[in-house]
Parts: sequence; C-alpha cells; structure tokens
Amino acid sequence: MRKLVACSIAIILGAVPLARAETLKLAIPQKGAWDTSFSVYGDRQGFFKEQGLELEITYTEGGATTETAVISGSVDVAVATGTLGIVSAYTKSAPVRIISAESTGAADLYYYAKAGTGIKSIKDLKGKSIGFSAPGSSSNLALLTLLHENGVTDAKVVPAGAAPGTYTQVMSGQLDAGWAPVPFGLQDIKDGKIVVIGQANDSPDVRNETIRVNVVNLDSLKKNRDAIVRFMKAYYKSYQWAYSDPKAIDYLATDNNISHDLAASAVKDFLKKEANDPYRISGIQRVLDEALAAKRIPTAMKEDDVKGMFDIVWKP
Amino acid sequence: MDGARASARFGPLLAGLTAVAVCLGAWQAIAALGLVSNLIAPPPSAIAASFPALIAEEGLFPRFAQTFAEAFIAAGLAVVVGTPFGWWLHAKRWAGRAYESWVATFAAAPLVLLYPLFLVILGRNAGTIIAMSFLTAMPAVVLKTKEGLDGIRPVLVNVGRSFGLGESQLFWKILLPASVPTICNGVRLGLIYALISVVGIEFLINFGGLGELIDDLAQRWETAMMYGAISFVVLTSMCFFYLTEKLERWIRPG
Repeated sequence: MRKLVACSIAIILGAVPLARAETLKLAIPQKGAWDTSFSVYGDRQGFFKEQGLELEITYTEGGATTETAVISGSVDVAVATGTLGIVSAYTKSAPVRIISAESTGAADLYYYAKAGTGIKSIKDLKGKSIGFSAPGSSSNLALLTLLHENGVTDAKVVPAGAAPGTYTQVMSGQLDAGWAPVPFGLQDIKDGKIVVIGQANDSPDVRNETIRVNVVNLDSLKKNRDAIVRFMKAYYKSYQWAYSDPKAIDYLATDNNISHDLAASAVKDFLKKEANDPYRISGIQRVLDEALAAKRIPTAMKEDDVKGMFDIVWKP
Repeated sequence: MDGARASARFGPLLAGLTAVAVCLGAWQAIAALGLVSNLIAPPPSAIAASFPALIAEEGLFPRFAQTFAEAFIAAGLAVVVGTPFGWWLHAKRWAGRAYESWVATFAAAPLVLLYPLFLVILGRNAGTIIAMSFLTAMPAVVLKTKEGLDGIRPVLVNVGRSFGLGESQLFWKILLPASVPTICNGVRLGLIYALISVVGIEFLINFGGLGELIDDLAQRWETAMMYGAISFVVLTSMCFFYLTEKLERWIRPG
C-alpha cells in the first residue's frame, strides 16, 4: 500500500512540471551563429525547462522573414532581428515590442581580401569593389560607415549575398573584397588565404549601435507576459552561461563543423561578451537616422518618438 | 441579332471584369472590417493610392521596362533555340525518343535554386537573370513545338505531297501553319516561365527591376506599394499575352 501511495505521489509530482510547461515559438536567423544560438544552448542546458518553458524553434533567413513571422503571430518571439527592420515595422503600426538588445555593435562582421592582392586595409579600397550581404543589412551599413571614416569615396559597393557566395566571388576575382561573419573564413585567415582588412566594430559609431534586438509579438505579450518574463530570465542565464562554460564553445564548434580551437578563437578575438549584453541598448538615434536614409521610416524621428517600441519585461 | 452578337463578344469580358471587381470589393470589405491586418494585406484603395509614389519615388517605369526587357530577351532566346530543337526532335524520331523525356525532366527542375552557382559564373548582373530565365523557359517551347508538329494529321502532309510540294514548301505551307497554335501556346508558357523566373531572381539577388523593388518595399514594410509593384508584374504578363496573340495572328492570319 505504501509503495502504491509513493508511486502515485511520484507520478503526480513528475507530471506537475510537464503540465506547467508552456510552449513558446521562436524564430531564429543564422542557424549556428554564436549570439543567435544562446536560446538553443540554453534549451540544451535545460534553462528554459527550469522556467517551465518548451521552445519550438523555427530557423529563418533573417531580415523580413523573421519580422514577418513575429508580426503575423506565427512565432511569439523573434531573436536577433535587425533593429532597423523593427523600427520600420513599428512605425507602420506593426504589433511588435522590443524586449531586449541582442547585439550592440557588429562584433561578428569583418571584411577581407584575397591574400597577395595588396589590399590590406579599408583605405586600400579606393577604386576597388567590395561585397556586402544585402541593402540595408548590418554588413551594408557598417561598410558604408567604415568607407566614410576612412575617406574612401570611390569604392564600388556590391550586394553580393550570403558569405559563401561572396567568398567565391572574392577568390575568383569578381570582387576585390568581401564580408563575412565569424566563424566563417577563420580557417582561411589562419591558412593565409585571405586577410582581414577591417572589422565592423573598428568604427566607434557601429560599435555603440544596438543593431539586433529580441522582439515579441504584442498579442503574445499581452496574453502571456509571465511566459515572456520567464523567457528573458532563461535567455539571460543562457547568455551568461555561454561566456563562462567551455561547453558552449563545443556547441559552437559542433554546430558549425569547425575545430574547438577555431571556435574558441572566434569567441575570444571577435565575439565579445559586452556586445551581446541584452540590457545594453544604445545608438538608437543613429538607427533612426539610418532608417530615414534607407527610406525605412517616412520622416525624421527622435528617440522619444519610438519609446513605445521598447517593453523591457525583465531586468536582472 | 445584334444584341446576341454583342453579348457573345462582350459577355466574357464583362464576366471577367465583374469577377475581378467582386474579389476586390470583398478584399476591401475584409480589410475595412479589420479581419486581416492592413499591414499584411492593405485594402485595394490603399494600393491604388500608392501608385503616384511608386512612379515618382521608386522609379516604377524604368524598373518595369527592365523586367520586361529581361523577360523578353530570355523568352526570345528560348524561342530562337527551342523551336528548331523541337522541330529536330519531331523530324528525327530517334532523337525524339532519346531526348524528349530528358527535356521534360529538365522542365520540372527547380533551376532557380541554382542562382548562387550562376552568380559565381556570370556575376550579379542581368546576364545571370537572362541566362537562368532562358533555361527555365526553353523546355516549354521545345516540348510544345514537338507536340504541335507531332499532332499534324498525316492526311494534310499526304495532300501536300500529292501536289508535289518539296520539303521546304511542305514546312512553310502545311507543317508550320498547322502547328502554330500549339507552338504559340509553348511561346506563351515560355514567356510566363521567363517572367516568373526574372522577377524571382531579381528578388533573390537584389538586382534590377520589379523583383528588386518588391523585395526592397517588403523590407521597408511599404506593403501597399509592394502590392502595387506586384500588380505591374501582372501587367507585364498581360503585355506578353497581347504580343503573343498578335504574333500568332501574324503567322497564321484568320
């Protein structure tokens, strides 16, 4: 009889967390990238389950794909989506709110040239061609800033698409230089095939601009604010864990099929912790100025005009 | 009698326009009632109101011209290469048996997914768009040309031969006129496939005409203007239909 009671209690207690677990749908761009994977790492470590959350993850191509997913309510939360795009959507009354920063600066972005071409810095791009991913992307905006700051006015900037395609165009000589996000290309840098000519974060303006944010669908936030608060608690724990436990480097290496050493050097040399602090939000005026220049917003705006776009649901 | 004639002539046109008007009215009503987000699906009135800005600020007409030209060149090349190829598959039975199924298989291949490869080979320019769209359009022209020639009744050819027509005369006087309707269907299909491919690749590689504009407007959440630009893709398609009808009448009067 005692055994029966003990078994029943165990079953009931075991069932409680399952019954409480809520499903949150997430859209994540750039599968495998370091900072976009904090939720994935945290999920593997069980941090979200601790908060009674089950994550249902959808990977996207980024940009409007991620924004559409969260605006339409297909997902509750969109991780690492461009601030520029969200500003644009918000000003057109899209039901989205920013719940935290995701990346301030673009620590992962760098520009490179094929070794032996004589191009060693951004200043050497005078009259040369350089590829970025897509118009309005962080690789585009950072590049324009770097060229401006280095006094290069006659470089030909070309939308070259994703990093692998850009790499092929650079190595085949169609472009003089290109862009990449780490860890892409790190092995080639080590092997001396390509040389880094600049990083997006070389520019103080870029370094201090929150370029990617985590956003939530407004209906989801209204209906289930508590779950979003718990999401942020687990997300913050995942971020802290990723920079303190070497197992996160293993995850990065495995997910990107690179060596542990390469993954470690990517994090050490490029992907600084402060860049991904969810509570460091800065440079919003610069985002608004860029949004105006890219026709993402109809008129000039000040930070106060978009205050309602932020709803920081939880702070540590 | 005149009323019956007018009804026969304008009835289908009126029915078509009524259907379009009913659909647009329903869409307007759904948007006005707030059943769908205006951000995702703006009402037709908002789309119509966006045209002046599309023309003045977004360069709609030059982009329309570019997309039209790219699709026209790609489809034109498909006709120039595909029609003789289709005739060859018809004339040489062994070739038809050997290659027709391969051409049909090629037609079903999602060539658009190969755009990164074409970007590497040809670069980010109109050449990539035209080359990929040509390859997308060509199989329809080849297969329809062969189908049209294969479908000619033997009695027509026999009558021609009984009048002593040579091979060239037989082709120009009997084979071509008899197969023109089917070949023109192939040309129409080729144009449609070329247009879809051109707009799709422009969208994917951020280069050129209406496809790039649609992508840019979507990124900026200018959805009313985006639908306006999409309606110009439909207009391009209508222009092509008009041109192929003219071409068919020119080749086969009456």
